[in-house]
Amino acid sequence: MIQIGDLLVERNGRDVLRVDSLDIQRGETLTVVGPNGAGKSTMLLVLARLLKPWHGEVLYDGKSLKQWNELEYRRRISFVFQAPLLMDMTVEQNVALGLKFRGTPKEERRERARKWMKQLGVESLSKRRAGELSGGEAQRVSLARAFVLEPELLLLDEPFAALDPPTHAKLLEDLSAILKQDHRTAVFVTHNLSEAARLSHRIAVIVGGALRQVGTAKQIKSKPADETVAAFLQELPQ
Amino acid sequence: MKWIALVTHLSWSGARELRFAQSKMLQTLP
Repeated sequence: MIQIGDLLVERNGRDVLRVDSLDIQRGETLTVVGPNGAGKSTMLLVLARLLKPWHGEVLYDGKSLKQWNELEYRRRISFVFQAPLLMDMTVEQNVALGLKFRGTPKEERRERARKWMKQLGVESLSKRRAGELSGGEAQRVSLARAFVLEPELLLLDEPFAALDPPTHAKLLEDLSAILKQDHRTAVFVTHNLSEAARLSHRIAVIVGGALRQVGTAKQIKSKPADETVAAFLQELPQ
Repeated sequence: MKWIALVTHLSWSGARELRFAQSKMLQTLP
């Protein structure tokens, strides 16, 4: 579905991300792990076509990202951030907002919003204002807002990083179940390797602005590609 | 960047949606 080749991203005149080669298969959940400032979020911004300039090739369904019509491409993706970024309106209105922008008829909006509020366990909060939600509830609404669009590609940038451990664990479990059941292609950024192992088919390790290794958690732990990856793994909580 | 990213993921079709999102965005959550 996505092929990246010889990607080099520059920001403020310096190289911030290099990816020699990476393929993401349709239906796959790929987790991108690495320390803070390693270039993980940069990769998501490139995939969302929000960051330029970059050199190299990123193909989506065989066609260069640079050739895709902007709106046509963006309607295929959804992005979830660490902050829920909700609007001052009800939960249901938040979840249905992307559909409203797309001109989806009201009845269909309501039906799809209900389905995803139920999947994410926030159906009972549908009439509540977003400002009255807890952090975990707000992030569930943010996830429902992304899933309701049924994107071909879901991009998640450390969506659970700001949550307390019990809320984090429950949400991780629920997202993991939804991704497995839904077979949606997703790229999930985290600095937590156990979270990565739990969620994804494969893990991509980015350290110091370069993609160093791609494999399963077991492969990466048992045979780090180089000393940089080994040092990163050693710094993680055991 | 996040404003723009949010609105584009919801479906960018112009400045109207961006203004709408900016006017309605919750600045802080409890």
